Amino acid sequence: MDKNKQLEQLMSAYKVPLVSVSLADRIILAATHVRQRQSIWGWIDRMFEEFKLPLPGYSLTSLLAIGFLVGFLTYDHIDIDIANIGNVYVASGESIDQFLDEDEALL
Amino acid sequence: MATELPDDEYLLLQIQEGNNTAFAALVKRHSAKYYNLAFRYMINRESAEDIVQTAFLKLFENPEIWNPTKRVKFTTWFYRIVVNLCLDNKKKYKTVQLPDIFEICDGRPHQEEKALMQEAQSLLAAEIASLPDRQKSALILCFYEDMSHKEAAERLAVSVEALQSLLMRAKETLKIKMKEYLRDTHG
Repeated sequence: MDKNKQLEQLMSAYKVPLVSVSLADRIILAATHVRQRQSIWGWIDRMFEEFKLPLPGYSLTSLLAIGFLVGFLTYDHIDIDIANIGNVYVASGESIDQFLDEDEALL
Repeated sequence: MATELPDDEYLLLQIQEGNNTAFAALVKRHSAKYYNLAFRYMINRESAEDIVQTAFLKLFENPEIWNPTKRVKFTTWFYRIVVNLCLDNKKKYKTVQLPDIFEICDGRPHQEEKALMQEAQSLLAAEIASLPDRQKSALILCFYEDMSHKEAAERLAVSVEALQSLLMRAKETLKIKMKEYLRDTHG
């Protein structure tokens, strides 16, 4: 018998001692003292699993989200002077007279 | 009528939803198998059992580490976790212990031969454990886990040719280390 065969025979004869019968129970018991960590992304994934939308639904939702985003981003650029808003549109006495004069001229 | 058992991947999804019974089922199904694997690396029963326990508790603590979208089988994925833990522990305890418990299965009547065989097996176990990591993994997968060369190559992320080369080198090293116990009877 050559050395290769002898080595393989020796390797086959090498047996692992049997596992403790209580190993599985020990692991389960140890797990009761371990606090499970839940990632936020896993939680979000599971939550949205319940809300499946058809494809056009996703497009509309995305469009709405983009609309909100653009709206919020451009909000600061609209310069509305709330304090003076009443004054801008209040007609003065002169402008009323001028308006009536124009009408009378026509008549 | 036999009821069909849920597969590992289904159990993992259940564990991710906080189902402890699914975790218990997975542990009962696989702990012995992974103990065998860990023992080949650690050649010590207590260390091997500790490794398996640590691996399962890691999974229980953070079940999200298994990603179902990658479509990797649980057994393949968990194998890597156990092997990595074994290799990390080997780095911690660099000295290789000689195994103390062996079952002699050849049934020879002579005590001297039996003792010699036992000695050879202890030494062989220690020599396998001290092989370079990749050679050791190749040998364990092909010889003790009964995997085909293709499967083992996939598991180790190497080509079949590279795996065969690892196996050949591992056997050559073992033949040299075990030369006192191997007698060439040719010629």
